[in-house]
Amino acid sequence: MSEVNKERRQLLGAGAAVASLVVAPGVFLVTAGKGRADEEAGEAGPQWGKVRWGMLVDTAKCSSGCTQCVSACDKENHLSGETLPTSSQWIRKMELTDRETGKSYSLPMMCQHCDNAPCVDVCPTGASFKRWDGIVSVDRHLCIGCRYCLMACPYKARSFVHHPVTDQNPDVPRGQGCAESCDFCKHRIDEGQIPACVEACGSTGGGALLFGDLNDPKSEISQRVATIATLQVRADLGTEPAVRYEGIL
Amino acid sequence: MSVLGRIARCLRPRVLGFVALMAAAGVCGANQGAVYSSGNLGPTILKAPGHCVRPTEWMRHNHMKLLLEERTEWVRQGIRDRKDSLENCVKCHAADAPNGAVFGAKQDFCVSCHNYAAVKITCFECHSAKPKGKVPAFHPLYGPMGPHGEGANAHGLALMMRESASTGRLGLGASK
Ligand code: SF4
Ligand code: SF4
Repeated sequence: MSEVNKERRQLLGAGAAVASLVVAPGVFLVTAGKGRADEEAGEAGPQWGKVRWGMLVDTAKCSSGCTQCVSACDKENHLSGETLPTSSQWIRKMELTDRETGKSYSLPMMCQHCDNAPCVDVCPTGASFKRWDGIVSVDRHLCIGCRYCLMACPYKARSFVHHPVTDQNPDVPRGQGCAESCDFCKHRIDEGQIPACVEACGSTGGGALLFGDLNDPKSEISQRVATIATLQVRADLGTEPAVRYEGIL
Repeated sequence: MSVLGRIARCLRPRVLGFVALMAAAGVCGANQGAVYSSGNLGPTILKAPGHCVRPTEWMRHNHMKLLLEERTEWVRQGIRDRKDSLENCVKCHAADAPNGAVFGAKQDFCVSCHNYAAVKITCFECHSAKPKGKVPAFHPLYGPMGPHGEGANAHGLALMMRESASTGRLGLGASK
C-alpha cells in the first residue's frame, strides 16, 4: 500500500473511530488527536504519547559567563550566531535578578516544547506541529512565513529566517521565509543521541542540562522531577512545557 | 468516494502537468538507451555510481511523489531509515559530480534535467545539495562570514535576488 493511501486510511480510520462531525454531505470535521498512531510501524515506530522528551535545567550549575549550549546549538544547526533582531536564535542565555534580594540567576531559554503549544494552535497551515514524542517543530515544507507562531509563543522561542541560507547541515535543512525554533535536535534524537546543547553543557559547561523521557518513570529526569521542586516557566498559561527549571523558585 | 479522494481528484491535473513535463524529459533521455544523455537535444544527465532505489524510468516520472511521501514521514514522524530519502539521493548523485553537489552548477544532477524541463525546484534553498561529511564550499557571493560579513559580494547578491524576483528563476548563473 502506498504511503499516501496509508495516510488516508489512517485519517479516515481516525475520523470514523474517534469523532467525525458531518458539516455538509461529504464534508467532515475530523478530530485526529492522540491515538492517530502509525499502526503499521509496530512497537518500535512512532506511537503517540509513548515518549515525551523533556529537559531539566539546574540553574545552580549554570554560570553567567558560560554560553557553551548556545555555541553548540549554533554549530550543530549552522546558525550564524549573530544576535541581531533578524537573526535566528534557537537558544539564548538569560540573566535574571530578584529585585528584592539581589540574587541573580543565569539560565538558557529555548523552545519549551509545550504540550498545549500555542504555536501549533495558531498555525494556519499545519506547519507548526507536535511530533508523537512531544517535540514541537516546523514542517518547513508547509510554512508560509506568516509569523503567527512568533506572535503566539509566550517564550519568544520562534525565529524567522530573513536572509537566504547557505551551507546548511545536511541533517538540518533550513531556509529563508520559514519560522523555526529549537527542535531538541530531533535529527540527533532519531539516531539515539542527545541534543547538542546538553552534550556541550555536560562536557565543557557546568553540566546543568538533563535530557530524557518524561514518560518513562525509570528515566533520570522523571525521577528528578518527582523528587525535587522544579518550575515550568509561566505555568499559569497552561502550556505544559517539557522544559523545567530547578533552583529559581 | 471519500472526501480525501475528492481532494485528490481535484489535485490530479496539477500532478499530471508535472508528470507530463518530466515524461518529456524522460522520453528524450530514453532515446539514447543506457547512457543517460540525449545528445544535443535533451539534458545531459550525470550518471551516479551504484543502483538507484527504483528503476530509472520509474524515477524519471515519479521521484517527486516518492520524495513527498518520504519527507512527510521523515519530518513529521521522524522515520529516518528509508533508503529513498533526499539525503540518500544527494549522497549518491553528488558522488561523481565535479563540484560534489546535485545543485548549483548547470551540469549538476538535479539542475540539468529541471532546467531542461523548465521546472523550478526549491529543495536546495533549504536542503544541503552536498552529502553529509564533506566540507561545503561557501556560496561564491558570500564570504565565509555569511551574506553580510566580510568578503561578501553584496552587490552581486542583490543583483541575483532582483533577477530571481523578476524572472521567477533560480539564480543559477551566479554560481559560475
Ligand atoms: S515554547 Fe513557543 S515555539 Fe516552543 S512549543 Fe511552546 S509556543 Fe511553541
Ligand atoms: S510562520 Fe509558518 S509555522 Fe509559523 S504560523 Fe505561519 S505557517 Fe505556521
